[in-house]
Amino acid sequence: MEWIWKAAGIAAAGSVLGLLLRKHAPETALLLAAALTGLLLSVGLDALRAVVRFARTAAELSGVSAPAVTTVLKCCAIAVVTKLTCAFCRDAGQEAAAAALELAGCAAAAYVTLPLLETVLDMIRSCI
Amino acid sequence: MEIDLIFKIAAVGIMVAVLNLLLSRAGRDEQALMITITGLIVVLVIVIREISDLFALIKSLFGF
Amino acid sequence: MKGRSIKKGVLILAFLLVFFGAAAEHARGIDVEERQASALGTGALEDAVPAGAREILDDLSIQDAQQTGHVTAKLKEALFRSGGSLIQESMRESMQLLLVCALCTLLPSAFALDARWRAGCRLAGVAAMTVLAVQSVHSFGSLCAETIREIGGFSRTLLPVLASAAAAGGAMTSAAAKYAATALFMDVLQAAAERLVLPLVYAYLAASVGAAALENRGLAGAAGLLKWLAVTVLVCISVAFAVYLSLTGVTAGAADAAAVRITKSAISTAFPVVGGILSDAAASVAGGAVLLRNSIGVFGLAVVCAVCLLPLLRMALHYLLFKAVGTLALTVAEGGESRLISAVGGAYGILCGITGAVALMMYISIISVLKVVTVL
Repeated sequence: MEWIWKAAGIAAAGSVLGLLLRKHAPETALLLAAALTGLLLSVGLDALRAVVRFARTAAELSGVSAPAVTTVLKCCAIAVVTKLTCAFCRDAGQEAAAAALELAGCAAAAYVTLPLLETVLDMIRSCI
Repeated sequence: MEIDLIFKIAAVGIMVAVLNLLLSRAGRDEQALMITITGLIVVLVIVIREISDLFALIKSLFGF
Repeated sequence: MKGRSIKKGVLILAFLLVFFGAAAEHARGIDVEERQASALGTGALEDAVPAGAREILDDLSIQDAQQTGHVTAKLKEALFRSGGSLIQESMRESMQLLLVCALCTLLPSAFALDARWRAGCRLAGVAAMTVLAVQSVHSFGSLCAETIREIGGFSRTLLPVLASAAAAGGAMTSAAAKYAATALFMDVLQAAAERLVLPLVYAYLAASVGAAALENRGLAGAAGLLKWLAVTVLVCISVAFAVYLSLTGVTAGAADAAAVRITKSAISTAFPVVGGILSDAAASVAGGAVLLRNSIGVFGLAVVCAVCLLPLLRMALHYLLFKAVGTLALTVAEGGESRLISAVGGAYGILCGITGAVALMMYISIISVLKVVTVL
């Protein structure tokens, strides 16, 4: 659990530095914010890895098929990446790009869910 | 990705900002702009490499 | 004078013929019950027992069926042998749905996703739960249809034999009427189950899936309506059968009672000296048919119980566990995913109801034939 304190410290220091750079080098401040986001995400990745491993193990033990769990995990991953990148675009003042990226993220999540939905349709067709 | 990346970027940014200010005051706006763009590109390359590694890690973790 | 002595001589001759004829039959050692049994075709009835029931009952014969303790022991043994694995199967399937439901709720919360992304994760989760649930419900639907077909097939052999035995025991009108009623309603229930109720169950499940995925109240209402329809069809057919059978029993039973009394007094009156003996002899033969009818009835009850035991137990366990897990899932997820688990349990409940209705119809029919008026 040491990483949460580390993450809090990094976030605070990075925010202050970003504030310092914003006035004189706003582009670098933006890239600093992107690097800060990436760093904080990688710090939390160990905990994320544990959650994902737990989900996969629980699914294996109960016999739930791997594609079902993987689909839900992929949707979560797409959601996280889309959310962070949209926030980055908004920080850069690019609302339109953020909105377009949100749309692309929704489409990607739908695309990832398609195999599962096709399986559902096939099953319903076989029942009828 | 380590914390020194933040400090590296901050250092580059501060250096670029200071050089920009000095060159602008000296009336050399084009050189100031060149320094700004160079600093931006350097930082961009560093950040893109790190973000790309991060995305690869996320892809492997979530099963993409 | 001469005429009266001739009549007396004929009567004495008839009595001697009956007496020595019965003595000769007894001397040959031929069992009346065996002849009755072979005339009624009980051998074909024993051959018509479905394979699953035969495994449970260990080639039980109609004579052995009279020992109800023996039959009960076999059924109990089958129950204890398979009960553990069936409970494990139900627990595993319900836990699978609970796990997927929990993942779909907890993962988006863990990643702090907003409402739109939670809806997307819910859709993926509901799709995963649907794949798991539809496979299981479809296999249970096939099991239900197979069980109904087995009972229907066995009833086509049992009911004629049972009705014939009841008729031989003196209940000619009521046995025929009850056989006709049971055969009709069994066909109606089988056709309704396969062509109406099972499709309604699948439609109910599809509407529940849609309601869970889209959080749509209209679809949830439609699912409720479909479930109500399926249950009402079953209840209506069962009640109609019970009412028809009761009415048939009342009218035909009275006719049979009157017929038996008239026949007895007619035989006694027609033959002044030996009439009473002949009437009692006929009653004894009919009494043998009554015993055989009871044996056949108990045998039929045992076979129907053996056919339905494991399928009903499986479906009932799934229904109970899925309902319990659905309630438990409400603590984890308040959305449609938890209601979907309860809906799947409801589908199992309807399938259990169909199988139970068919079995109950057979039980009521057999018991009503066993309780008809007899010569004794």
